[in-house]
Amino acid sequence: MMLPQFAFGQKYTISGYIKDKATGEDLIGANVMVAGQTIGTSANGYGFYSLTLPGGTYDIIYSFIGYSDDTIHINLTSDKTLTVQMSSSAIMTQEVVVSAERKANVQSSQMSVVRLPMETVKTLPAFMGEVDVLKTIQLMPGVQSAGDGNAGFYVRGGGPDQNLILLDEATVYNASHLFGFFSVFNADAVKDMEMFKGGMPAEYGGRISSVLNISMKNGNMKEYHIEGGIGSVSSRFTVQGPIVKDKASFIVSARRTYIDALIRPFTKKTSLLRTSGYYFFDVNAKANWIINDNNRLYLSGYYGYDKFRFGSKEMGLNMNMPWGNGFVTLRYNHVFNNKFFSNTSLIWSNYKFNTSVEMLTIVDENAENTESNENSSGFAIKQKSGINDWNLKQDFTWLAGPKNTVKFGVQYTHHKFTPNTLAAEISDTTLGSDFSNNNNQFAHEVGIYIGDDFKINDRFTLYLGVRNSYFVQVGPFTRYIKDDLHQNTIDEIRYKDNQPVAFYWDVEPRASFKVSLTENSSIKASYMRNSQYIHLASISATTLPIDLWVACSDVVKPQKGSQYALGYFQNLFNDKFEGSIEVYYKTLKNQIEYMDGALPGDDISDNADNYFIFGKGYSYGVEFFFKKRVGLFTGWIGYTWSKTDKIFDDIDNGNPFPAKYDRRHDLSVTATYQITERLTASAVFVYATGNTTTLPIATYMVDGDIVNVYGTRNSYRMPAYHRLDLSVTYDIKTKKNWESSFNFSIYNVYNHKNPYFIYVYNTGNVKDGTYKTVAKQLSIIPILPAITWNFKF
Amino acid sequence: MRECLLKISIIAVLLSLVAVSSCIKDITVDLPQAESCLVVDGYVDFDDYPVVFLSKSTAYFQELDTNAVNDLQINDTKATVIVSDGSISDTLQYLPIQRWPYKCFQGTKFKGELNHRYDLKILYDGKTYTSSTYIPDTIKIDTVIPVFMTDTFAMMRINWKDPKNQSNYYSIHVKNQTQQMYYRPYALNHIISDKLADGEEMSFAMVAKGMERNAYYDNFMTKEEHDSMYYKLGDILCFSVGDSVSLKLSTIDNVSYNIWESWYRNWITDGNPFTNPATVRTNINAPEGMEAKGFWIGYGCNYRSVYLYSKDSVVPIVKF
Repeated sequence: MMLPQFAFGQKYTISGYIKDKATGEDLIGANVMVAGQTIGTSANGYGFYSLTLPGGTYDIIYSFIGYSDDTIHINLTSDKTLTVQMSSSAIMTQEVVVSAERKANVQSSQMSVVRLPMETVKTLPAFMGEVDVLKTIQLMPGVQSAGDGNAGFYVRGGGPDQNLILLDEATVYNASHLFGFFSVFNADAVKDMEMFKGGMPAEYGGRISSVLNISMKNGNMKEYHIEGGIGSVSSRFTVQGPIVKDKASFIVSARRTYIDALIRPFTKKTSLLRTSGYYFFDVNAKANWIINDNNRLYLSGYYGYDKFRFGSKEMGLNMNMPWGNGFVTLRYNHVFNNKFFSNTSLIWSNYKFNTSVEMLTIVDENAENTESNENSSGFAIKQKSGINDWNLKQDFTWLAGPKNTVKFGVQYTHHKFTPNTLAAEISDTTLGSDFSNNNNQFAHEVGIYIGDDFKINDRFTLYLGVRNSYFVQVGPFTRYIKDDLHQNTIDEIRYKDNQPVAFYWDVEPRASFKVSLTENSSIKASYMRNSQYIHLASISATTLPIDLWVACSDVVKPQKGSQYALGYFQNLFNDKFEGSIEVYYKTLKNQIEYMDGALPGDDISDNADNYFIFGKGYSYGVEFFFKKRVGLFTGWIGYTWSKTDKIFDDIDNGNPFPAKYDRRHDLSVTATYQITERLTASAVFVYATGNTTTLPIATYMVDGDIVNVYGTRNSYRMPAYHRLDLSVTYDIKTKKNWESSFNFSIYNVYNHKNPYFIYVYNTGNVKDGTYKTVAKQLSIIPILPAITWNFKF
Repeated sequence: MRECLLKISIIAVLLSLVAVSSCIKDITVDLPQAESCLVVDGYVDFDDYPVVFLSKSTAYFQELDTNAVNDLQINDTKATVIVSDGSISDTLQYLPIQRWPYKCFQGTKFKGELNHRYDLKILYDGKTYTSSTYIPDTIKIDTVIPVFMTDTFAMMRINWKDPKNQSNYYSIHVKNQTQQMYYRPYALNHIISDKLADGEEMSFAMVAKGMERNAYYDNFMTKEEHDSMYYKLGDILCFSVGDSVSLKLSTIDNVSYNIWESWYRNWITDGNPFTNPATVRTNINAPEGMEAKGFWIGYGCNYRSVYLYSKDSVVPIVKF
């Protein structure tokens, strides 16, 4: 190995981009190390890196998971721009020497971080064969799935609204399709993902539990490619290629489910399946243009739409429930000099959720949309809610030296919330608000941050950051003042346009610290305090799109979270295995819940937040993670023990009660085995303590009726959730420029009836002495085999 | 109204989940044991004797056959019920009544009067339970307007003038010619307050047919129940042409209004996995360490009757 020859005094900087040789895609997080030293850096979210060293000759090693190391010999006598193109190693299972990359989990100051290569995501069994980033990340310790049919995920006892989900920097408010069975992230369009469960760097804010940052592919800079998959319920199609070779590229990726269309011809005209249906589609698109070495533009967009329709002639019922996200992001990268990188983003994002239910109407079987039937009914109820954001961000990265990276910037968001607008019509009478008179909420949110990742010496690394956040709700807005029992409006306060309604701000310190014990082991600690100015009000025991996003107001205070975490990290057997143990303690303030008995639609001529009660919560737990990274057999075991309680003055006399996602045990095991060069088998097993719910414990008769008495909040725990999934992928013989594979998967192999919810109901009546109560459990996903054919050329 | 529609829409979501899934199974739920407590169902109408039903609460999964229901009822051998108007105390007699459960405690000494307070005292199991209610001044119904849903089905819209500068709370009960008793209109709120319309012309938007609730405790998951809940919805909710409709508009006090409000929240959220269930309020004071459920409510009643002519009739609006 060539040792560096130092020329003391003068320092020079090597900077540039790290890219995939075949496609020109940026390699986010690729490592750059000086051979024989512990000095190094990694590429930022745009593939840019910068390393400042004393003049001399060096061997610089570029490494990235799934790629062969690239070593470049450099005689550093002046600043250098060096864009490196790395070749992907055929398969990860080949035990190539991945030097720096393998130690990143031990050596970086960042803890509580999850990075999963897309290759890993793609090898694991997928629900209905649809590879899903969000589902895979829920197999990591500390990240809990909410269960079948639930859209959200829970990180370290935090609610699903407390996760900042970013797709190309745009906030995604509802990351799921089909009530959580699919995520909005099309795996073919995703390049990279990382999640922070704790120790969140200062550039992220606005959520108190976690950040999931997903980057879309830029599109192949070299040549055109088409890839896709045809599955039993959905298909995908992606096209990408250069607009100008090595200068500009694009990618367009689309998906649609078609189970509704497939079933319809085989059902009777009167069947519910004929008049009901569900589908979603989504489209990801992105273009980028390298103007020159120092300037680059990106334009990315996403649009996704879910529609659930339920109609029955017999019941005289027609229900439509469409919802979806969309965003457009325009970003501009500028390299001021080889140490100073800037990104400017302008983002528009939108989320909406509508429902309409009509009674005593004839369902028009040919009508595809709500509008055609809108006014034909005796009763109709319509509901709209949503969020519309404009976001402007300016982020700077100052790569001050090999031991010191400073990030700072400012972010501004204009929010428009439609918390819930509901109109009911009966015959010719309209009850409630019409949509033109809705009670929107407008707000400005600003975040200013600075953070410094500083390597004190070979053993100690420190990250210090601070974020200042500001939030102001402005008019127009009407506050409805309620009586003591929150039942009747006794007064109104009207705010004019731009008149401040509520103002909040906070200082949010962030810190992480690492001590290396040996080359292969370290101890890390972190602290973060975050403020969050929006809440997801969940009326139900399950997470559904009917959950309502509401902003802070004069009534609703910002959520505040503090988290302390401590971890031990160890690599074993020449980095073939990695393991970690992390403990955390987290406090949550200004949490919201709906009052007992609150209903969607209570906010007709009212504020949604008049139906909230406020409290706090805490969560603590320990997470174990053990992973075999390389070899024919790979996989991991993640186990979390945790406890999450909430305390609300208005619930159970202020006694702590378990959060609905309080989960004592959560276990995930994944295994992938490469049987032959073409045949790969994989398995996933999950076990989780059952969710909590509230059930009646007693009953009484009054006014000729039966009234139920409920037990304390969330006092009943549903049976445990567990499931085994298997999959086999067979690569068909690869011709030049043509790859294809079959994936066969089985979800819930032993057909375990996992509880979606438990409900109770009565039959008969008291008068006849036939009154009975029954408890039922609804499980929604039985054993489900799926086959998908994937292709690429 | 909106509560009814919401409940129906939520049930529709449930139904559709059921439609796409057959993975429903009966389960045994191990619930914590709840103490049985006294349940009071008492009212005093203007110009009528006080009426009180007493019973005990029971475990949720208790099957209520005739014997079990009888066991839950409390008769005059187990309890003494005394109502006082401030000057006279009346120990209620355990007498037959036209509605289920056909026997209850009834007053014989005095009838309810307007603007009067009535105190209730119950001696049961060696302990004393108390409550108090008030009969506010009565308000006259001005008009009754049928609102036709179809050519043959209609609900009723009733109007009255709310007195200004005082808080008023109203309840509506209704019956047709086939019914012996006044019932709460089915599926719709039977209470309204004047908080948003003090001193104005009040309109109780829709009065549906009255229905004894426990006649419709349904398993909405079966085909038969679908039919009764949806297909025959008009029949259940609406009066038919040719019905003689009797309406009872009562003034109630704030406490009673709040009890009924919580009642509706409980009814809508009951058994619904998508909400947090509400607790029904009570105005029965239990002795220290004990619990009681139910209510004692005074009604300042005003009655009107109308005949439901056909849709094309020239006299759809009945003025009084």
